[in-house]
Amino acid sequence: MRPRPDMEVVVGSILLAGVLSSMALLAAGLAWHWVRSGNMTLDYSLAGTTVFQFVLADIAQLAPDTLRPRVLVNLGIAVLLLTPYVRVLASMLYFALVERNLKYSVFAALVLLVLTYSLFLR
Amino acid sequence: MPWPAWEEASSSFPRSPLASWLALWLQRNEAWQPIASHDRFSRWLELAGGYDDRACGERIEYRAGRAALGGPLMFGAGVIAGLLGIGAGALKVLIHDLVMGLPPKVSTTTSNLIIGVSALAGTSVCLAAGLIDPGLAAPVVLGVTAGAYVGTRILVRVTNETVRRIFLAVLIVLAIEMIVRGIRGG
Repeated sequence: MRPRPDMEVVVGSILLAGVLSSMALLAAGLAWHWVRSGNMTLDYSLAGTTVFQFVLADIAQLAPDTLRPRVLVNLGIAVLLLTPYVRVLASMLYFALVERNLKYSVFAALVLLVLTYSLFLR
Repeated sequence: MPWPAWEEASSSFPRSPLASWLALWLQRNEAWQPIASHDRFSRWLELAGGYDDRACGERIEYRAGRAALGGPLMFGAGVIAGLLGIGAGALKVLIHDLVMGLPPKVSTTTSNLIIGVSALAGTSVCLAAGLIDPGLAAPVVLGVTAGAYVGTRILVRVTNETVRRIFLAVLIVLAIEMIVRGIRGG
């Protein structure tokens, strides 16, 4: 009926892509750690940072000389954290630009506002 | 007759979780019934939908009511979830089922869809406090996601009544676990 993709398809693809890439990063990180050290336990803790800083710090460590198993695991966690954020952003844009539904655009924008605030919490 | 029983059961929701568990238990053998009246606020929010039920091969149309009560209760569910880390899912499903009158399958899947968003708001606080253990998080994510994949494939094939029975069993296990944790002080 409608040529444009459904909201459900858009959101579903984002969630699927986010979860699958996060799982791939976590599995790769764990496997690499296991090959290198022979055990499965990753024993380190994360410094208390905002989600925003956490993501930037991980991306900065993607260079070949700093890349370690824990960077992959951190990135996996970061992708998982950002997936619902991207999902809300996408639904807001969809409501505003495709459906042109003011009411739901405002709702999604409010949720996005709260989430954005939480990303900068510390 | 399912109707009066449903009304009675749902009005007891705010009193205690035990009462809501009993309410769900009492109607465990009853088929889900659509709500009779759609209040103005819920209509304004366009809380209605439909899905193709693969278990009975029919299209199920549903409406959600009493959004004015459900909304504030969801706020409470969020506070409790953030406080105890049990995930707002179980509480949200209760509110969807008993207050807003959604079919069990729809309440389960809706809660699943929203949980990532509500969890992010809480998780960012935990991350900022340095409370996330990556060595623990990595295997948990891999296991839980694999389980969720299997679970959703089962969900679409079973009936609404089965979903409700499984939910009841899980709810009682959760409650016992929380009581034990509370007594032990861990």
